[in-house]
Amino acid sequence: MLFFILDHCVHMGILVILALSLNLINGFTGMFSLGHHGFFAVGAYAAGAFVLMTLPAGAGAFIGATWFVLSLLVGVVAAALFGLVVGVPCLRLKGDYLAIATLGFGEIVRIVVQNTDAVGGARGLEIAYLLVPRSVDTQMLYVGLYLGLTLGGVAFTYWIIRNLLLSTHGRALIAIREDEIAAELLGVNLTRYKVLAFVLGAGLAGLGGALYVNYMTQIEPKEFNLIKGIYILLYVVLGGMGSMSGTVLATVLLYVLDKVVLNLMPPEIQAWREVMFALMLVVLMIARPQGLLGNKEIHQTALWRRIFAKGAA
Amino acid sequence: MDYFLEQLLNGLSLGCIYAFIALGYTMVYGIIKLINFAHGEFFMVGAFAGYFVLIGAGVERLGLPHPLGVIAAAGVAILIAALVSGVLAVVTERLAYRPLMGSSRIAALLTALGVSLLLQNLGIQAFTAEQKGFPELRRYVPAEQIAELDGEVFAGSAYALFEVEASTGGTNEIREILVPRGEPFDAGSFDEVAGRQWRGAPVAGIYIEQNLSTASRKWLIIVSLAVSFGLLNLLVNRTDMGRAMRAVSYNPEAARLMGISSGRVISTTFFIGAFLAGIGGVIWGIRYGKVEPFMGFLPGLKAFIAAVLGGIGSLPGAVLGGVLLGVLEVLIPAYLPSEYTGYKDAIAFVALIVILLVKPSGLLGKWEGDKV
Amino acid sequence: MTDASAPLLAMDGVTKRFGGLTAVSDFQVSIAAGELVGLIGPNGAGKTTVFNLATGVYQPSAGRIQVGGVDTAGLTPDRITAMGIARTFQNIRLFDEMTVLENVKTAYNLRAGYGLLDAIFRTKRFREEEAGLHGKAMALLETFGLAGDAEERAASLAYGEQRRLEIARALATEPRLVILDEPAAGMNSSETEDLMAMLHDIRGRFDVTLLLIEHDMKFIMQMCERIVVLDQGRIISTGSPAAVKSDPVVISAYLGDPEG
Repeated sequence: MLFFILDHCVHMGILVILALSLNLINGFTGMFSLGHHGFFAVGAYAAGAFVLMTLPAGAGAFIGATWFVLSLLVGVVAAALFGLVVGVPCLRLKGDYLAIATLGFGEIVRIVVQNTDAVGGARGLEIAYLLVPRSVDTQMLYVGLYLGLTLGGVAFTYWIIRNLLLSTHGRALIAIREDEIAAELLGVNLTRYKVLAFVLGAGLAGLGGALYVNYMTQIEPKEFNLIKGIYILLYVVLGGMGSMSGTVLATVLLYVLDKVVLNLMPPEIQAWREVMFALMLVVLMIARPQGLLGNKEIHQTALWRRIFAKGAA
Repeated sequence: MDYFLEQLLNGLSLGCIYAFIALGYTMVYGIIKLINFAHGEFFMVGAFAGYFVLIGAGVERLGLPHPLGVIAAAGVAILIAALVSGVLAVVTERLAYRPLMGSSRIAALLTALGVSLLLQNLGIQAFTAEQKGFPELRRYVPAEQIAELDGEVFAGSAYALFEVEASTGGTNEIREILVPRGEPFDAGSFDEVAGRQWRGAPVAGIYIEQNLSTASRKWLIIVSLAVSFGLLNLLVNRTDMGRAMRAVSYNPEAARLMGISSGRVISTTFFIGAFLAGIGGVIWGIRYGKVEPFMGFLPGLKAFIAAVLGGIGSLPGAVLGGVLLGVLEVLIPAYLPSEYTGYKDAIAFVALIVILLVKPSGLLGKWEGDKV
Repeated sequence: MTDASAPLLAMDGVTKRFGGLTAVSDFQVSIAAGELVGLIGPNGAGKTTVFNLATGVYQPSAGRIQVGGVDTAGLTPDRITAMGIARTFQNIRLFDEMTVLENVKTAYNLRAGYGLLDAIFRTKRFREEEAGLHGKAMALLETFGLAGDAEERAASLAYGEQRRLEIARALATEPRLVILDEPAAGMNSSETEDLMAMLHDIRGRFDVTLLLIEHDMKFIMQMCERIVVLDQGRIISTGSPAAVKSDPVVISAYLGDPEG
């Protein structure tokens, strides 16, 4: 039982990394990227392919750990480079066009990995356990270790984005979201910052991908499809596009709703799962497009202040 | 050369189906600047509506002389499918998009995505996720007239219809092949069947599948598109509604000041766009023989890409883009080694990125810059 | 590097065409340090287009634009701002969801002396630069009477305050020339008086040159030392306010009666 909870937490953690990195691009820089699943896929497949092709046979714990760290680096760098590939051509695109173009890139990634036998094609990729092998005896250790690593990844992602946002570079990104032309006329270099958002957002998604492939050791192209991309977008939008704590909150809420609450329901209701999520997206956009927290962080909301403020406000 | 021409025809017919869908996309985008992701689902709903009409409506049995009976059946199926799609589109627009007039583009786009997923999954609930075989067009011959067919060679299978009250109402078909394909029909063999009864009911008549050749299906598609596009052009350029649509798409404020109700114009645009997509859906069923709830997603996306290729907001652009994309999607894999056929779907996305980089306004479009 | 002795802005034979429409035709102006120049003309004359050309939002179809002696052809607006031109807009374009203070701080981006890694790792350089930047921004807000609203959302300010914020923000880029597009729009006469006083004050205090577009004739005539009149994309008159006011060409362009 504990194992299943921890396993879900690992998955949630990776989703939080993906959602935070998407929020950097969509929420804070105001660009509409619908291809985040592509960055996730590039990170996972690059890390996986690296391990698959270069891991020495009969590797022990030390080599395994080294390759793990290297695979994370490979995933991040590969995804960041792909972020560059996507970001540069998309610089002049706005709104709907940017959405479709990024969607196109995301789909291209999926189609490419699906047709590349070297990474397993449609059947998927399988790699060795790098850190701890997973068997009935070791599974608690396994999930505990990966949970720690994933939480580390989440913290790292949160930290980088937060520090970036609370600096002149962050202000530049938000200015681009608010009014691109005014920002440019105040001296903000649009090219540099838009590309930065894509590269950093993609790289962090790649981190999520690399962690994912190592944890699951088996991945298939269809896990990186547009539906996944839309789910990540939903987490970001529900949380509030300008709020990092909102993203974390929304991801946890929706994941728990999906995997826990729904699984407790009878199968007839479960069959309507996608319908409910789709309906949720529609109703959310009509009724409360700013999501849960809008562009405030959780400690800035009135509710928080009411609970935690000491003495006079 | 023959191979090339054959593949070209394949590409053209596929492209025309894309054009049917792309026209609706481009019309809606031209008027309210929204990528209606759900448009592909109107295509899918049209296909299913056509499916149900062809299976159960019994238009063939109205007694029209052959081949009018068959044509009427197809025509009714297409018309009903188009109407159902059109009405669905108007309902969607009123419920989901109108409340969002004036909100951010992202909100509208996400709602459209949500509606698309919603319709797909409702489709799964209603129709199950499996593919269904799209019925062949068929001709009905009542029992009294069977003797006249003695000695004919039919293009497709023939099977008998028994008039039994089925639990869901209506009559039962029994697919008992009366004659192997290509062999002359022996009226005597029918008497044998007629002598039988099925649950106490006599034979009412036989259905003969028309089994159109693949080539005629492709030409059917191309001709339907040409006719539809011609009619659409007439509508847009020669009628009051068409003028109103163009006015709203150029300048909504001015149009309103001139007394044009943009709400009605927008709903009409949605209706017409989905109407065309519904036709495309039935035609897809006739051409490819299968329908399933996910069938609208990828063609819908590609049709949008086609609209962008041709120039979003431009009707000829949608047709040009659709046809071009269809031809590329068929010709390119036809000349590459077979291991590359999996990349077929990537062609559309690559084309999209290329056109967005080279000429974002599309082949026939005009670039509108930002106002500062 | 810009040349200190060259005019701050020099536009020569500048033409801008949009497809078949010629918005500006053969425009020329030279603005030297310390001047206060006004650009007027009927609606649609092309005034904002001239501003967009000067700040790099549009590239000219013909002619040459120089800032501080340096040709700006092909440069993006952020580069041109770095060369010393700042600008405000006809419809106020603040960063609505940012605070007043953040709006101003954003303008320091081009002069901020630290990179990404400094920001991420919170180095000493980052902290020192941010502190300096904060100080300068607050001082600027003090000057404009907005320091009390520093943490308010920019969108929540009153209209007049928003205008002041936009001007303050433009000044934060430490420009030599400030281009103001209808700064008095939407103001009543007493607010306009205050604005005039503020602009004169800014000129002296920040040592900047001003180029204005305005429709309010009284404002222009009282404020500007030199006026350029535009009609249908062409210059029809230039000179001192008195000269321009009585120029029959200008009067007929405005159909007889200047406003105000």
